[in-house]
Amino acid sequence: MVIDGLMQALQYLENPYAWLMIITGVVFGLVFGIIPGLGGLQATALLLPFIFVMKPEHGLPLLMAISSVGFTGGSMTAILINVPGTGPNAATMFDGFPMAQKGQAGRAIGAALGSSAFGGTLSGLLALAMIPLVIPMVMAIGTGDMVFIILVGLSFIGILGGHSKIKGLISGGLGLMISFMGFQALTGIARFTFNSNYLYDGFGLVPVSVGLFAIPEMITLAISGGAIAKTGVVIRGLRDVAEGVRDVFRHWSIWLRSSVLGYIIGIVPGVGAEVATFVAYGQAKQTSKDPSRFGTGVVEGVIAPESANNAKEGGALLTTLALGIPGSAIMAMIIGAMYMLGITPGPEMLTTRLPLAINLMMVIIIANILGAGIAFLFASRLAKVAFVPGTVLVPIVMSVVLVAAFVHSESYNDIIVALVFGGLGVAMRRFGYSRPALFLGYVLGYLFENYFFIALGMGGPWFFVRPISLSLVGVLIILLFYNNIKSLVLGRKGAAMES
Amino acid sequence: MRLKGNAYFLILLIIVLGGMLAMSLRMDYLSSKLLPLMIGGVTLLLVLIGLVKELTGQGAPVPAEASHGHDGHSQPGLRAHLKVTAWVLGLALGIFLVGFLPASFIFIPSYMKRHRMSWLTTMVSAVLTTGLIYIVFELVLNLELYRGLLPY
Repeated sequence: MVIDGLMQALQYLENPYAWLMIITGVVFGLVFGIIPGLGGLQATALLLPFIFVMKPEHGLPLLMAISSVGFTGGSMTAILINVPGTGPNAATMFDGFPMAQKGQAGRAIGAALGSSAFGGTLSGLLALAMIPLVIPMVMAIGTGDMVFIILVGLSFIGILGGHSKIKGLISGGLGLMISFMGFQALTGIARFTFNSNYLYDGFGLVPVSVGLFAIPEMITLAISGGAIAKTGVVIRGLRDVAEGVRDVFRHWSIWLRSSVLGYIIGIVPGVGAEVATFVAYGQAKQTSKDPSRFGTGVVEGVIAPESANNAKEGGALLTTLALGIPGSAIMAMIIGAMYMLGITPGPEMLTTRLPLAINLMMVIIIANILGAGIAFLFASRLAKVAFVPGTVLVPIVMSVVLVAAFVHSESYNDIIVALVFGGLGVAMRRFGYSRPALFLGYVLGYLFENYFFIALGMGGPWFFVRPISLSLVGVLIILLFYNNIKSLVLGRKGAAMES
Repeated sequence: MRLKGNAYFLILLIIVLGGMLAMSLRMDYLSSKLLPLMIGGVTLLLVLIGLVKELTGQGAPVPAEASHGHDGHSQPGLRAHLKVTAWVLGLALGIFLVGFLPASFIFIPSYMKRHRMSWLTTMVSAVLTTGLIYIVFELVLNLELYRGLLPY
C-alpha cells in the first residue's frame, strides 16, 4: 500500500503546475520568513483564499512549502541584523550574529542554509519511513478515541504552547465555542447566529485566520514604526556561504542529533519550534568539548538550532496527517485548508488519501532543498527584504489582508469578521493568550462535536471505556494536573524521608 | 482597585460566554445545547478563576513576546494601538464606501506620506499594490471585488 502510494505521489510531481506551486510557496515562505515580525503563518493566511480554486495535490503542497522554509528565511536576519525573522530563529542569533560581526556572515548563513536543508530533508524522510509503523496504530483508533485525541491535542497546544496553563485552556475553549456558531449538522438548528444569514455557516476560515494571525502582526509592525533593520552586515560572496555549507558536513553529528531532536519534538502537538531550537542549542553546547565558546560566534551554535527548526516540520506533519491534530498554528491552517478542499484529516489521510500524505512529506524534502538553493544563490538580495521599512509594508500587506478576507464569501461581512478577530488577536497577543489554541479549537470544533455524538450514539455514555480512550484520559489528567501530581509525589517522598 | 488590561479582557469574555450560555439554555434540543453548555461552562469557570487570580495579583506574568515588540523595545500603550487601529478602520470604511481598489489606492499613499515616505516610493507602492490586487483577484481568480456603497 505504501509503495503504491509513493508511486502515485510521484505522479503528482510530474505535473509542472505542482512544481510551480511548490516554488511559489518556497519564495513566499522565504520572503515572509526574512521579514522580522512576519513568518510562514502570515504567508499561509494570505494564500489561503487561493486554495479554494485549486486541487488538493496543488493547493496543499503550496502551503506545505511555505511552512517548510519559513524558518530558513528567518535565519538570515538573525545572523545579519541580530533580529530573528521568526521566533524559532532566536537561538540562531546567539552565535550567528557574533559570527557576522567577526566578518563570517556568509559562512554563518551557509551553515544555517545547509543545516536547514539537510534537517528538513531528514525529517521528511523520517516522516515517510514512519508511515508503515503509524498506519496500524491509526487503524486501531475508534470514533470515541478521536474525541479525546482532539481534547488532548487542544490541551497540548494550549498548555505547552502558551505561557500560562489557564490562558491556554481558555483560548482552546473559546475556539470550540466559536466553532459552535452556525447550523448544527446533527439537528439543523442554527446556534448563535442572531438571525443573520451570513452566520448560518459560522465564521469563515480565511477571515478568522487573517484576523488572528496577520492583522495583529501588522498592527505591531505599524506601532514599532520605521525600518526593522537599520544597519546590518553584508555578505561578501558565495565562497563564504559555501564554506558554511561544508561546516555542516564537518559537524555532522550535531546536525544529526539536532535534526532527530527537532523531529521528535515536532511530533508532540503544541511544543513550538522555539522549544526545538533551544533544546537543540542546549544539547550542542552541553556535548561540546568547550561549551564556553558558545555565544561567541561558533558555527555549531548556528547548525544546531537551524537543523532542529526545519526538522520539526516533518514530525508535526505526521501528527497532523495521522491524527488530525496539528502540531503548530501553521499546521492548523493546513488542516483548515484540507476542510476547504473536502478532505478530513486523520486516519483517512493514511489510508484512502495516502498518496497525498506522501506527497506532502516529499514536498517538505523538495521545499527545503529548493529553499536553501534559492537562498544560497540570492542570499545578499533576499537579505535586503529585511530593510524594507514597516511604513511601506504595513499599508500594502493590510490592503491585501482585507482583500484575502473578502474572498471567503465575497461579502463585506468577511472584512468585519477579520477586523473583529484582528482585535481579539491583538488582545490575546498582548495579554499572553494562545492564538494557535483558539484557532485549533475553532478548526476542530465541528469534528469534535460530530465524533462526540457518533460515539455517544454507538457506545452510550460510557463510550470512553476503551483502552485507547482511557489512556488518553490519563494523558489529559497528567497534562492538566501535572504540577499538583508532582507536588503530591514530592511531598510524600519528603515525608517518607523525614520519617 | 485599578483594573489592568487583562482584567478588562476577562470581564469581556465573561459577558460574551455568559451570553452564549444563556442562549444555549434556550435551545430546543439537548444535542444542540449539550456541548456549548459543557464547553462554555468550563471555559467560563476558567475565565472566572483567571479573573480572581488577576485581581489578587497571582496572574501569570505577560510573556516577553507580548510585552515587547519584535525589536525588543517595551510595548507601547493604548494610544499607539488606537492610532494604528484608526488607520485600519479608516481603510475598512474606505472599502465600505468606495470599494477595494480606490480605497487601497487612497490608503497606501495616505499612510506612507503621513509617515514621511518619498512621493516616488509612495506612488509606486500604491500603483503596484492596487494593480496586483486587480490582476490577481479580478482577472486571475475572476472575483468581483466589493465596489462600495457610493456610485462612481
